[in-house]
Amino acid sequence: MNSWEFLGIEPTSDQGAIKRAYARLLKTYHPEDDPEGFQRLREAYEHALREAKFLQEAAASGDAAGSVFVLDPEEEAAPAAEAVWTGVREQGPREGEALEAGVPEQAGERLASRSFSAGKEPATPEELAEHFISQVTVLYADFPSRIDREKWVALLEKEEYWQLEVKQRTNKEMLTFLMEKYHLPRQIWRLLNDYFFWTDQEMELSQEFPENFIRFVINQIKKPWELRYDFLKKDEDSDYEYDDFIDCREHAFRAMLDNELEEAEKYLAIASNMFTEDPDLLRMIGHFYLRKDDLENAFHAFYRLTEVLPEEIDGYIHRANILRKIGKYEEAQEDYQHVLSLSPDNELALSGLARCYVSLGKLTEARAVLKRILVQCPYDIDVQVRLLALNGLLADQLQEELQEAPDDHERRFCLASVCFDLERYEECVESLDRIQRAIPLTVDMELLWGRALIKQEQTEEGLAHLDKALELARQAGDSEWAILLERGTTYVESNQYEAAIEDLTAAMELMPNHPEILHQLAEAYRCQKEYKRCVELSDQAISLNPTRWIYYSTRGLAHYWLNHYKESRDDHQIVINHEYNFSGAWHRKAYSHFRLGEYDRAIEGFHESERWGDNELSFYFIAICHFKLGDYENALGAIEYYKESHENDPDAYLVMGDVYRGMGDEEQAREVYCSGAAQFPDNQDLVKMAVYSLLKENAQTRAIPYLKQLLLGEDYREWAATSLLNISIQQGEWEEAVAIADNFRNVVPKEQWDPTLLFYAGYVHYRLERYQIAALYLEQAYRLKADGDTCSYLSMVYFDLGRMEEAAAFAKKALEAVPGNAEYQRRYEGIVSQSKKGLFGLFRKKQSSQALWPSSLPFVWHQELEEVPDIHYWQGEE
Amino acid sequence: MSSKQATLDPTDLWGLALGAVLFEMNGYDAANNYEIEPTEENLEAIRRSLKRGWGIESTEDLMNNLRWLQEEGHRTSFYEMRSFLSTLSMADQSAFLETLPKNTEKHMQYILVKAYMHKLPLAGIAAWDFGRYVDLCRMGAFVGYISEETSWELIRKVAVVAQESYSGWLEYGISYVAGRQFWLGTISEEKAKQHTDYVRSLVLNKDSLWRRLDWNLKLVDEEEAEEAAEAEEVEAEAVETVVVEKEELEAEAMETVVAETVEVQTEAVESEIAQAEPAEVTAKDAETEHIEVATEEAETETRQK
Repeated sequence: MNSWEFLGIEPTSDQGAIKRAYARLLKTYHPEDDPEGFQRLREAYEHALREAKFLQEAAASGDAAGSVFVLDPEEEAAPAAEAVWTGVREQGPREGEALEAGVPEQAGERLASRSFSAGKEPATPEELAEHFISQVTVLYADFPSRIDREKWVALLEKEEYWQLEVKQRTNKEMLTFLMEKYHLPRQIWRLLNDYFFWTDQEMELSQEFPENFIRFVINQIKKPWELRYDFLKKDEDSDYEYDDFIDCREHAFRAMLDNELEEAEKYLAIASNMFTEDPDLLRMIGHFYLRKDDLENAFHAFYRLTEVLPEEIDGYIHRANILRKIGKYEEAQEDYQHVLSLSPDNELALSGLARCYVSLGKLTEARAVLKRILVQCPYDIDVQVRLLALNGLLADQLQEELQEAPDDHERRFCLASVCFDLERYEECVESLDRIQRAIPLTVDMELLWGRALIKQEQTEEGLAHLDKALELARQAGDSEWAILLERGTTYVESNQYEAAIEDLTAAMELMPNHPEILHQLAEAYRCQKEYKRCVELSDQAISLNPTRWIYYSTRGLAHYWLNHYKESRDDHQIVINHEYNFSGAWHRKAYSHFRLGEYDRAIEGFHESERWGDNELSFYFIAICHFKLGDYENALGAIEYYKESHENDPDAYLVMGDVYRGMGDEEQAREVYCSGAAQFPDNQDLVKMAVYSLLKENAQTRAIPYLKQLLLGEDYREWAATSLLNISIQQGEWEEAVAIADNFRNVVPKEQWDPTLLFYAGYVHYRLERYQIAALYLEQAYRLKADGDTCSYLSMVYFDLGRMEEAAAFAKKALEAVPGNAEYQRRYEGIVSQSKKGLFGLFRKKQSSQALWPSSLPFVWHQELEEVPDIHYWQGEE
Repeated sequence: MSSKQATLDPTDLWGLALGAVLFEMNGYDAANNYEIEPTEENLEAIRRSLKRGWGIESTEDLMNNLRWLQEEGHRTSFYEMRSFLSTLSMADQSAFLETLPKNTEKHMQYILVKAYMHKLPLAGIAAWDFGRYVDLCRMGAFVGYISEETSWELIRKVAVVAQESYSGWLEYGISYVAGRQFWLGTISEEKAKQHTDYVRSLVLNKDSLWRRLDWNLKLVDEEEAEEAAEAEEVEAEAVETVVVEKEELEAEAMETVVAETVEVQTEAVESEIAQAEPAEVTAKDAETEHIEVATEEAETETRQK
């Protein structure tokens, strides 16, 4: 039989096909079981590979002999072929030399040496890749080697395999190999991934390999759990295959995950027939029986588990739970204690222990354990409720016992503590008082007394006891940090922040990484508005305990006030994840979204805030958000709603007007602005908008009273003055205008006026023939802005003052500024011709420039506001 | 609710007690066995709360919700998460939890499942579904979506299931609030304390329903139950008998046919052999046999009809 027949494939140059055939046959010719068969397989494989190469080369070289023909080592080789393979043939297997049984590694090495010892050129990438896969094959074939990380590392670290070309080949080959041979422990998968980077190539690989296979590979690498290979053994007399066991176990596992108990039972049974000492299997069997409520069989399985793997807690825990359920409390206790020796804070063990104590009547011990659990798992309701019931029982029991033995102070203190837990603070204090009459109180007693009083809102008295507790602790050299934390927290809650900071800082020095201390200190700083420090401390608290939402609330608030809206948003998100009905958190989150331009989320948040807490401002902001999104309908709805309940808020009018303006309804906008301005004359923005919309519609007279109102304020007075002058000028009310100008000069000195205002003032004085004053205004205007009108009117004024040269000069400047202006031209020519009249002009009563060259109203435009926002809203919070 | 509530018989009171947490939360009077006065205000309030909390506005809505609670409820997702998590080793459970993004509902729910899965019985948080079932029955009857009678019938049925699922009021109560906490998906300490408060008086107060009523109260009258069981058995037997008889008849018929066919064949063979014998005798015999066979065939046919 030749190699191809042995392998069961057609002669081919496809090396992958050869390898797959080899892999398939490995099952049949296992090196350990059938060493001779394995050797034959190996040789057939090698031979087929060589032939494949030859076929490839022949095809490539276009050789006439490139037609496929088979080289059978038993036949005489054609001379040409012989030349190529000579070296190899000489090195061929010697007669009688057999591979040693069960030593495939050596076989591998020998094979390796065979390839290279011919002293040929350095190996090509192809050969290296082949070699790599054959090494892998050998490694995989021997189970102990397969799960030995070191061996894989040794293989993968060989430098020759790191060449890019080699790697590109081996990547595909390896995956092909793995499609058939995939039973590897997770650490080997991960090791291979460190070498091949499959997790980075998921998409590309899914193109070339079946998608679910690639997913399988990725999953093997990434999954956080595993069924372990470390414990699999085979005795001499057992005849199962590791891989079969592993497959069965995996099926059972998947069935258990989905609670398919029938399916699970099937595979668990098959697997346990093969091998009974696998801890993962035993554990699953135990849980299977638990789900069937078969405590006896579950017990056996877990018992076995503790024997097989004594360092893992799973067996003990579940065994203990079963023992407890059937009433064997002492034994259960032992198991729980053992678990705690391995894993000191294990909640399940502590819970179980507490329940044993209760059943055994050891109530105070049980209570201590339950309280211990609550320190780590304050959310555990099973513990909370059992503790509640236990406290109830204990209170009764202790009271009874104290009837008999009234001087048992320890018992009485325990009673006080239980009463505190039950929120029966008066009784707690009573008990402590009674003790105090008999003996001096300990630190813990004073501490408890203080806390009870504080709970009853007798803060000062409570603090006094905390002081005492601290004193006692200091004297005894006991740890003080717990008391300082308690006192500091109380100070925070009673708004005594400086004292709080003092205490908590001291506590922090004694106990540096205590999250609660850090948090309370952060709170204290926040209340003192030292937000940066608050954030620093909160960061630390959160890194130590990321599950307490209140820490995020404190930090979120600080970020909020620091205007760190991203951080505020994220922190408040966490808060509402935990406490969905915290209205304030919703509001701050919403506002943060708002400032970040995330209007949709902001709207959602404001609605929630309002829903949970009657937040006053919600609809105000909702309106603005809708506006920002261009949704004027909803904006209007929201602001109307807001306005209904906030008649006294000028901002309601402002926003509503803005919304109408956004909708293009100028008339409504004007109505709203004006009615708002009428109601709130002191609100500058509202009045300004009223004016703005009135002027837009040329309703100047209506605007006047509002403008006068603006003069009284600071923000828009200049604009108001300018506009008023403008209007007066248009209406020809010169006296009025002068009055305005004069009044305004009292508020803002002339030196600070802008040129337009100065110009107007100059102009009105000119019209009233007060030329000296007019000149002053116009000159100053000119200095600031030498435009056509200024120059021209200045020239008029100079003309009227008889300063002819200057008049001419300025008339000319006007023309230079605006060449071709007819009016300027007329005046200039007029002045020039008048000047020429010389002496005669001195005697004749001169006509005024206004009479000679009447001015058109120079300006019928309305002054634009520098900046009219499309919507007004608060930039800061009160 | 009728004034009947003050004078409920123990089994119905027991059923009512399953919903006690919600009654406590809503502030109804324990001393009155949580009876609510049928004022317009109360009717309106409860109608609104059924609508807002459950979307219930009709009998149909109510029945749909009850069916959901009975068949699925929120316990189902707890079970799914529990099957998954409890299959892993404890070390792997922690590793898995580490991979979940913190402070998300999923993460918090898994934390709760991990905490409770080996402490609650196999029924898990079913208590929460049961309790709400009872509450809906009572509220539904109060506003008239179902009759009083129906509501108590339904409650009796669920009571039996609840009793089998838990071993005591404390265990039931813990499972109830744990269920609510799981549904909220929160591990906030404040919320846990709040939930503990919901059961506070039920657990501590000696006069509470949970302290007065024996969890193992006989909910179903034994005699009645036996009779019902017997009746069921009798019915089942009767059905079986009919089936068996039918089968027997068929079998008999089959046998007959088979036997006859065999006979016919045997006779046919015999007749062949006989034909090999002296013709006279044979012919006569053959004839006789032929006739016999024919007769038997006719008989068979008749019987089969």
